[in-house]
Amino acid sequence: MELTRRSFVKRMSFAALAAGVGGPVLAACAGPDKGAAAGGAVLKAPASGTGTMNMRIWGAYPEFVKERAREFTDSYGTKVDLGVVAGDYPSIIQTQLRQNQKLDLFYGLGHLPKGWNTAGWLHDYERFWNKDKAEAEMLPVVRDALTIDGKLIGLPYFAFVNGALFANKQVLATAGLDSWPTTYDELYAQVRKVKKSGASDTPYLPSFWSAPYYGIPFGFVQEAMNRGMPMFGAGGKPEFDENSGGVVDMLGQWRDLYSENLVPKGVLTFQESDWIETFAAGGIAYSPQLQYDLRTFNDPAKSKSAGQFVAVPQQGQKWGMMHMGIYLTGNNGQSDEDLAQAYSMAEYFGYRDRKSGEFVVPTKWAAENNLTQGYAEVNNSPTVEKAVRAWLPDADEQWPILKDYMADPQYAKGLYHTDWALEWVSEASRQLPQAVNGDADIKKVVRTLREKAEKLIEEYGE
Amino acid sequence: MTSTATVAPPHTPSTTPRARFSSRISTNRFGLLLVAPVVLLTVVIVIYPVAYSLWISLTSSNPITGRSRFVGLENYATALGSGEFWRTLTLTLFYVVCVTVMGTVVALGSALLLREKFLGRRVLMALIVLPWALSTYAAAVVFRYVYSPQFGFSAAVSERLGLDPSNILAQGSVIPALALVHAWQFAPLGAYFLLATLQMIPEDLYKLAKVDGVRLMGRFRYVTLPYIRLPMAIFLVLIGGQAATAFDLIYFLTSGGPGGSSRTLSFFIYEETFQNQRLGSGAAMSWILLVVVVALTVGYYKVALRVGNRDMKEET
Amino acid sequence: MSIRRKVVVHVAAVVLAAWTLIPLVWVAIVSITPPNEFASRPLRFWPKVPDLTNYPRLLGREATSPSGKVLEPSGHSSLIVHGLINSAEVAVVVTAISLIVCVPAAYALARLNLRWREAGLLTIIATRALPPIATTIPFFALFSSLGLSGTRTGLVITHLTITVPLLVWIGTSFFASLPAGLERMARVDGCSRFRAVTKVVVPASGPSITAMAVIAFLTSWNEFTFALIFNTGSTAQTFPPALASMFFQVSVPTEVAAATCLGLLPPLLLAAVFQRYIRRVNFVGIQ
Repeated sequence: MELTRRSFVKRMSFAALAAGVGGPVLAACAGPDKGAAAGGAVLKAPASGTGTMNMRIWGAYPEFVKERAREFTDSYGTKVDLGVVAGDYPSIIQTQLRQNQKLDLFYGLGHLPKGWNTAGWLHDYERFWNKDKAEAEMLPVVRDALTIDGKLIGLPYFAFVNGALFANKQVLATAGLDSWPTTYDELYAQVRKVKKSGASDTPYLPSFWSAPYYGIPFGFVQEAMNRGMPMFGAGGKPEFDENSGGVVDMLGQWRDLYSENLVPKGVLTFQESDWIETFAAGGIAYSPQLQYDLRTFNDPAKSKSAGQFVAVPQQGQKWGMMHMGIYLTGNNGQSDEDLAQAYSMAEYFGYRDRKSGEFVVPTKWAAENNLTQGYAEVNNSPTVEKAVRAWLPDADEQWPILKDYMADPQYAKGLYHTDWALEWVSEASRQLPQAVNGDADIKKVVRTLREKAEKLIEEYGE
Repeated sequence: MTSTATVAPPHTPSTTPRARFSSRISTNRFGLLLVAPVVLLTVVIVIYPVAYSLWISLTSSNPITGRSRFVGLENYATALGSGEFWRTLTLTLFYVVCVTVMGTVVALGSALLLREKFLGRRVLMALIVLPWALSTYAAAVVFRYVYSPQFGFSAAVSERLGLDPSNILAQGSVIPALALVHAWQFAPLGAYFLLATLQMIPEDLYKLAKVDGVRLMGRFRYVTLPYIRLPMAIFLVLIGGQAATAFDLIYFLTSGGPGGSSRTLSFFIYEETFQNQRLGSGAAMSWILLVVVVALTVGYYKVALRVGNRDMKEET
Repeated sequence: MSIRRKVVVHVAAVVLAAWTLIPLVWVAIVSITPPNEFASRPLRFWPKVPDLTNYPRLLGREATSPSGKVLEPSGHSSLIVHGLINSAEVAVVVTAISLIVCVPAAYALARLNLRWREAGLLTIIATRALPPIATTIPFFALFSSLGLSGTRTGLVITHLTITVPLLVWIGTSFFASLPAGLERMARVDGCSRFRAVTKVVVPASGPSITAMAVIAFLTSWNEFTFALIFNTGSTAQTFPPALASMFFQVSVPTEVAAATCLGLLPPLLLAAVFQRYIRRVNFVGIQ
């Protein structure tokens, strides 16, 4: 047991010591005391692995990641301390960054790195030896998303469409529907038809859920963008308001969906897992979901209607927006040597294996878990296509549809590339449910969200 | 765990023969010696951090830009002037009331029942400790499987009864539903508290009351209640304080939702402190909550003691 | 007892048993439900083919499903197992320290005529009412300068902030309920003040001290807020955040149910062993 009473007592006395000189010691942790990670010459790939790299991930397939980390250690010698973070991932990571903890490689989402970089908590990837090559191979939307203040902020962990519209063919057949909706209005009209037909009591599952990550703010932004409504302009300036229809009408439709009981009960207190499990349980006609979960829905071990779930084609209007996982590296004042080790690990996970020159980990993610990647070469590789076609229903029809989702997706860059995206998203996750369940006036909610953005711009711009 | 090994006060100097030393000093000194470790520990790990958070509550800082400034009482003024704060405080009080009422009813009911003789009494006595033994977080997970309209036990029962499974965690019912979980978990502790006392009430008192023609409710009021007032007060303080600062349950089951319907003050503080990383205003609200809880606790405790003592006097 | 009363009492006993057990039994049932039967409509109260594979899989072993398929260990098994071990270690240390510190103090507050006894007790009650969330902010700063984030030592410290006031408070009431003059008798027999405590008072309070130990252990074992905020993702992660990490979007509800049941076992065993001590303890001593 690492924790003996003696070491406890020793640390305790340190604590007592710190209590005495507490003020000055603690004042040092009040804010970022180091500037944004300083630039420097491009690093060389380390010849051998040294030290232990701390890697922090959220709870997706921990065993898979552990296996890859083991392979990395076997191949390159660098040890990996892998930790799975529970609960509010962004807040917890932000707390740890703020505490200057050693985070060599950790997951981030698109809306997180801008603020963290401004705070000086991140090392960008400008000094990564294969930066130019990796950038050249990225999907344009991914490269654009990962470029913050003109610098490459990290390497892609995954890239897929959040809010890809999935359908349960079984329910649609029972309801006698045979044409795909092309707009949200058509979608909601079909949903009502399904309910009327008796094929499903709750035919639509929107991303109204809110914990521990957020569904509803992303659902809000993506549907508005899909409908062509202006959302956030340059510098995060809100371009929506409570007076010009637009998002107000959209939220009005949401409230109708909710009050007409077209959506499952309790959806507002769903966790992300409920959102997925409920759709997988069958009986729901349409749901905007994470594109990669099409595999989950068609997996007989996790789904009751495996083989029935397909993606709805995009005909004119897009469904959903780009969603991105990113490998980031924390700045805790580490040496160039340690930074190079972190890059080396990021390269292995988020780009090519230096030794074989192949996309080893990305290809495995895409083939085994349908986790599409930020590189076209991976997503279109014969290995991945073969693996996907093996479980994909109506593969000849669906494969091009899935590729089309990835071809030119929308991205909420206006919001995501602000220092305050996380704070606005958190606020939106509290406000939007009130518009849906009638707790608050819709116009008031929209005004609150606009004013929140304006206030944040002012505060962060000071 | 051997109890004898753990009670030696670590501060007894070994150079002086113990027997004489501990007897030579005054009672007060001896007492101080025994209390000293707790005082020290409390100062370092409770008082100091709390004082530090008082300082933080007087500052305002932006997590990203790192700009921090002293703002005096501004955070307090902002909190007290915001409708959301009062809404969450009201929800907290409502939650506390629900939890204490449900918890007390169950605890008292269990204790009164367990005083009776019936088949399987010993087994039941052992079983009721189970909810208390699990973590609030686990209890929340457990009740997710009870409440879910998709796969919950409640849904299964409603289906059998031919009803439409209802959403228990909806706006109107979410607070009582959460309070029920809390009460389910903590009532056993109260039941044990009360049972220990109930068993001390002489049977003769009840017999006398019966002879005098006092009815069941009367016997409860005049015989039972005076005895259990004090353990009840202790239990209420415990569970009330627990409820006022409850976090895990809400975090897991509703995250303050739907739409803020279960956003109690302690959850609001969590959002402000961790999600928004506004340490200053989070600390200010913590302090307001702390003052409210302490005032209620101490106030209640004093009242309960006074009433308790009065009853004792009345008896003798 | 009249027949009517007997019936009422037995009915009440059944109701109490149901209230206590139904949620737990239901989770246990879910944990042995095969994934493809979970949440099937209409909802079933008992799976057609009970499936125990979740348990060995969570403990890191392969298992053969009722249909004969060999299933891999759960992806969360190492997190759960490490979480259980860490929780046990932290809880044991917290219990030991809490007892060492709190038993003497509680004794002194209860049985010696100290000058500021009242004030001391009220302070302790007040700190006991501290919302855990209120102490996390300063602990952030404190822990980052001491390097205690993500360590078991750090977690022990945070847990002591809860257990110490609680135990002093409960312990005071325990000791106060002992018969007056207990020490005096021992002193008359020639014991020193200190020996009077160790030889007479402590043995007489066996059940009470056991109850205090159980309360400290369970409080630490069950603590979630500090464990989540300070230790999630680290190697020192305890069970509650490990369980929380299972709620990712690809969670398997039956597996989560099994993990929940696993986490219940240690405290349940403890509670089962010690519930008779807790019951024997008199809680009314504070006056």
